Amino acid sequence: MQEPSQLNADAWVDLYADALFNFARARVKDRAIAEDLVQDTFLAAVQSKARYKGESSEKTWLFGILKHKIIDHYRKNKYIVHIQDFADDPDRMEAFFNDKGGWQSRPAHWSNNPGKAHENKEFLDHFFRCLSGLPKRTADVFAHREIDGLSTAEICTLLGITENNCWVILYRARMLLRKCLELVGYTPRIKGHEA
Amino acid sequence: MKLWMFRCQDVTQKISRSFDRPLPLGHRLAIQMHLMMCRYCARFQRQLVMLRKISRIEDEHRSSDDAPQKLSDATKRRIKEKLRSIR
Repeated sequence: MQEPSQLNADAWVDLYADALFNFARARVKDRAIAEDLVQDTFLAAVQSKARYKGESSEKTWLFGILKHKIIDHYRKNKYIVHIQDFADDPDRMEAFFNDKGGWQSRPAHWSNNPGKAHENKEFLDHFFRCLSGLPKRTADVFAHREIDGLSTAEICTLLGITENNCWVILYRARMLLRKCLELVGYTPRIKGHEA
Repeated sequence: MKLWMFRCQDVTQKISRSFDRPLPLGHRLAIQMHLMMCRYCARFQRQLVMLRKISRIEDEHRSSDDAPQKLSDATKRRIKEKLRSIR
């Protein structure tokens, strides 16, 4: 296995520690825990340096590791939103649709403005809690795809599942996440307002 | 199944898949037709875009009175030493 030079690991801390900490601190209230998450991120990065393929920037790669750590932390501390009715039974996709294949509960209009700080903060909080509440395998596949930016082919290899299975899981994950975000109060400003 | 007979359940599956690999032209057109008529599936598509964006946020935009949180130099030194110790 390739060892990163010490210079490299030190440089990571100088370059990215504050940004990672700022992100972690917004997700967890306890300063010491946020520091631990950042330290664990660097430890994991050094240990898995050989797996970093340089397809994403170093910064994105480190943020990906941190986000996985945050999800683990939320899951461990049950700081999650679990939408039981849909999440437990993998075959209950039809809960979202009626028997004619139309929407059972219709998606709401999201009024989020990604440019606004406080809206992002709240949305991100809900997002991480909802993601952490998904069944682990479902959350892992989603995180590898959307957070780490892996292709479905890469995820298959990594997790030993078929590509078709991967698509099915991603569909479930997206459907559950958007439903969860609506349920936890990420609600439209005006209910039923035209999108 | 005929392309013009796509139901919301089918359309959402295909929209989801389009976020992971390119769809055949016929499916893309059928989805566009459906989206013109169905605001809920159109919302679904926009929500998947949001999920993708939010997944990739790194630097949170903060208001000016809310300064970014920083690690102390002592903590950074401690982390560097820890990294050295595992090599």
